[in-house]
Amino acid sequence: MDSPRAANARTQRADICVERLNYRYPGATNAALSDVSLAIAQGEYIALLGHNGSGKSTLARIIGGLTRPTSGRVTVAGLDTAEPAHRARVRQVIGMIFSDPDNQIVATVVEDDVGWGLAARGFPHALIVQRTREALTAVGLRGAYGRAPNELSGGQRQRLAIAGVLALEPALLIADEPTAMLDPRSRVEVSALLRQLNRERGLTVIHVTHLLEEAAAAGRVIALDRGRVALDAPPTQAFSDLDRLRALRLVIPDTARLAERLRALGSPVANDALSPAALVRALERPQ
Amino acid sequence: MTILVERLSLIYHAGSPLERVALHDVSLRVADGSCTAIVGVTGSGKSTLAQCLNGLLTPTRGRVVVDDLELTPRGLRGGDLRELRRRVGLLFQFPEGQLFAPTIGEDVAYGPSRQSLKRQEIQERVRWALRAVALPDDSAFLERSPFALSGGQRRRVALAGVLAMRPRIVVLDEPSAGLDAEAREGIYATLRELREREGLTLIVISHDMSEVAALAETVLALSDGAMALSGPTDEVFRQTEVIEAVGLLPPPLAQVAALARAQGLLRAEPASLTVEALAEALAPRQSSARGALADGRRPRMESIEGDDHAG
Repeated sequence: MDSPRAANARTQRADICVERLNYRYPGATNAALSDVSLAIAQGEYIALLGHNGSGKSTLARIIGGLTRPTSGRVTVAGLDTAEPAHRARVRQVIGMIFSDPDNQIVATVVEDDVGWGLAARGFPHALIVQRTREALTAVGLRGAYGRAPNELSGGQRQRLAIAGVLALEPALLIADEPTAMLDPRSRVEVSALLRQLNRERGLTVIHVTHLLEEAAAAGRVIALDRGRVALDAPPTQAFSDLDRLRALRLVIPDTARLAERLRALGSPVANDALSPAALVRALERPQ
Repeated sequence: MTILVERLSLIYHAGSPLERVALHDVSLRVADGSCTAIVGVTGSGKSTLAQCLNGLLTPTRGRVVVDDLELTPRGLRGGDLRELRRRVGLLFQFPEGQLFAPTIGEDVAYGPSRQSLKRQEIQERVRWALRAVALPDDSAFLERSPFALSGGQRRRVALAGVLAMRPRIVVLDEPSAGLDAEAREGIYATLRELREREGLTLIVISHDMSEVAALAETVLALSDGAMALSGPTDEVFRQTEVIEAVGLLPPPLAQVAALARAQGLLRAEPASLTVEALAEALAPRQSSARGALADGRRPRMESIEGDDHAG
């Protein structure tokens, strides 16, 4: 196993290369993923979109090394994620969070939970304390020291789960529907946090979601449909054709429908102005 | 059947050091066949209020009246609690977690089978309830395990279990929480149809304002156990600052309207908080056809009509 010091992710690059990936669940007749090839560079913020059953979570799990592909391969920082010999290194480079933070909260006190991953890897106490403080600060939970995770709100617990992952200093964060179980206000908070971590730390983020509002903040939108890449473009371009997104069985947010209607009425509202504030800002500009 | 709540207060552990006021002096009236949303942040008293409506909790002060049944601190007058719970069905949050029977048919039949009904009547109710929630009602489906269904379908099975009791009023606690967009729309469509076809009265407890906008015509907001505001949905959503003050996020279109109003961008108050009405209020006055051309596209028919309308 690598020494803990090797896991200094801030200097690590985690370019992702997905080559001709196929996946079929055992016993299933249809493929969950068909011939998916992608290249994702360090520091990108990817929104991985798709309706239920489109294959987006399967792809996320394979990139994260949790599921082995039927054929094809994924490398992250040059490491084949399905290769058992790479597992420990892969775990240092990639962090994952899911819809239900309670599934990855293991300790009874907030700071113990954040430090758990480091403690399990044998990091020295002083480093655990320091990284825990940094991670809790990064997710806005500095005030939660000493509290029990179950006293926190859903959004706070998801931020705690993110802190637990950040403490390990990954280069890639895969967030699989991280806001699915949250109320709207917490959804906005958690999405904003992911974006901030991407901007400020250069963390590569793959944000799996079915919500276009959340995808609008990404640098690049990849949409899957029936296991294939149906769309791969920046948000402005991806959201220029709402009918195409409807055909991918994605729900068009009210703000996008309003922007579409305003464009038809002659207002120059950009395609990716999906938040209420962005939409109104677009209207304020001199026309 | 209307629900009347008068000056309702509920104090948990009254008189003990753990005493906590969950509801304070709440009054409301829910009209027959209407859909009312009760909104508020976690801990505002929404679920406590829901549990008072069907007698799971007894008020500390005030009363809840459902037709001839009256729930007061001294208990229920005019009938028994079973009767109140038969009339007022309660769908808890994440109800699919309460499914327990080995087959869908048995799970949905659980409630009516405890009502001393004939076997055939129970079966009829089960099939009716499954149809009402847009699930199959054939024998093969009834024999399936509820645990093999998707999350959205399991929630429908749980709702069918409540409907099989034939309540006239259904209280739903966060009915679409955790569902994906498609399953969400499906649940909304089912609830709308239940109102239209069966005349059910719905009370939806939510902190999701989009859900409220999709379902309810009346909104009541609770804050720290007291009524913070109430009124028709459109009117309440115009007061975005009040909604934010009680810790909630107004629906996106209401936020757009409020921001645009503050910036003086609204040409007129939108007639309602719909895409069409808001676009009408926000679109440039005359330049629609020209704007569309300048955009490099041909103007669509509706933009020309919109222009005529605006002019």
